[in-house]
Amino acid sequence: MEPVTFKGNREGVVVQLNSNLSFEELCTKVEAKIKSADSFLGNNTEVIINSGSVVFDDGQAQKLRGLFNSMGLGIKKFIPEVNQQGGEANDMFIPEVIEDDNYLLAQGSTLMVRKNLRSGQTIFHEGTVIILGDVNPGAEVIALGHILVLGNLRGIAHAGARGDTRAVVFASRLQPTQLRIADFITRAPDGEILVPSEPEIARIKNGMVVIEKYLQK
Amino acid sequence: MGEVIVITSGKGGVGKTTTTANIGTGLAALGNKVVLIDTDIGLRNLDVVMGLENRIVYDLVDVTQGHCRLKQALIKDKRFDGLFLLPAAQTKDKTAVSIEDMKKLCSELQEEFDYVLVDCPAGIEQGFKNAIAGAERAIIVTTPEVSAVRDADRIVGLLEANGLRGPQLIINRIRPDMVKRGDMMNIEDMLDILAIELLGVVPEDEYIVVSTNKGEPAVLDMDSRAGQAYRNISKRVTGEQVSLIDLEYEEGLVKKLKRLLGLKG
Repeated sequence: MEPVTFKGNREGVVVQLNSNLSFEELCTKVEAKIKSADSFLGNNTEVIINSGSVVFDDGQAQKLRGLFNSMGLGIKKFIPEVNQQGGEANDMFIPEVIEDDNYLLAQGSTLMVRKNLRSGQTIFHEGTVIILGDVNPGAEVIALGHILVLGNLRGIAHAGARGDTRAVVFASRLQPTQLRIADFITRAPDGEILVPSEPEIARIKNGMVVIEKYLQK
Repeated sequence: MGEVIVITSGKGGVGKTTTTANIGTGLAALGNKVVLIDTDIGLRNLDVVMGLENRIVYDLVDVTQGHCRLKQALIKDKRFDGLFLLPAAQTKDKTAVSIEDMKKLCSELQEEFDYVLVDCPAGIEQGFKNAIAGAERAIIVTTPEVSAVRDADRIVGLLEANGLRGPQLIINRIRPDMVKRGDMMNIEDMLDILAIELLGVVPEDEYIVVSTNKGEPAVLDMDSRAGQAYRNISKRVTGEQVSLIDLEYEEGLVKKLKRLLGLKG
């Protein structure tokens, strides 16, 4: 992996930092990279810093801001957010699911549930939910982040419940009564009972909920 | 010190009362001292199924409200000396009894009986809460229908939330021919969803209707398939290992003829 890469997305230019390097190393690499890409970035561009699984503290963030400012650039925001001492927990970070294979490792608050969720039982969590067990028909899991069910998902799952369309729903056996991601709602076609034989993952692609086999061959 | 077992299902009409009557009678036939409590206040049935309706003087509410002593309200069964029934009141409703009343009642009965079977009303409201209050073990009855299994699942969750762990399952009214054709949920489907221990499977049997109307539990009829299943279940309740009956069983021609001629095979 390159120490520093530039990527463009909807929000602007993302500076992807290799999380294996030390902070000092990163600073020198960033400086060199920006110098070489001078014309490409233009002046006064506000970039987004994505440091993967590394969370910068306040001091490091200040240093980076100084470094970027000295080269005529600004920092719009940090992903994940800068760790402010004594501050409240940050909003959950969900990396680009499709691009980043480490997305399961790099997140904020996660709730682990080790039991079967039965009819009438609900779980709501402001982050990712992992269920080691089944979610039976009539049960409901609502998460602001991802929902991962290591078992049968037969009930209702709502991932990205506050509108995060990057959230995914994974299940060893994905056969939900209803599946919701952000504002999208889907259900199995009437009359057809498909029993999946292997783990599947549901996510939003091009404005639609798409279900794919999790293990790509 | 005896064991308090609640028999519940969530959904109505799946056979809780029939199951209570049959397991209770089955346990008594094995020589245990058993008391059955009907907690379906306002819709009592267990007395009818047991054929003891005409002996009721006092009921559960009379006991909890102190109108009579517990001993006075217990009705002795016609067939077994060790079997008693505490009937529900018919003219009151579920709020006439509190959770504390039930806990106290169950612990009192537990002192004297080997098994206290509590017949739970349908639903998950006050009646259900009362029925499970004093129980330390639960048997869940379901039929091979999606709706009954769904309710059973809800009940397992509620029991867990109330500290009653490890409930056991009875699958009632299964029809092996329909299961074979794929028209009925099979045992594996149900166990897959409910994920609890199977206590027994009772095949659909016309004789249950006859026995209920006569007030003679099927468990005492040696020719009834359901009765056989309940005999086995009763033994399993006591901890004995009994293998499941073969549901594929078909009556032989000779036996059928004998039965037609009135000879017991």
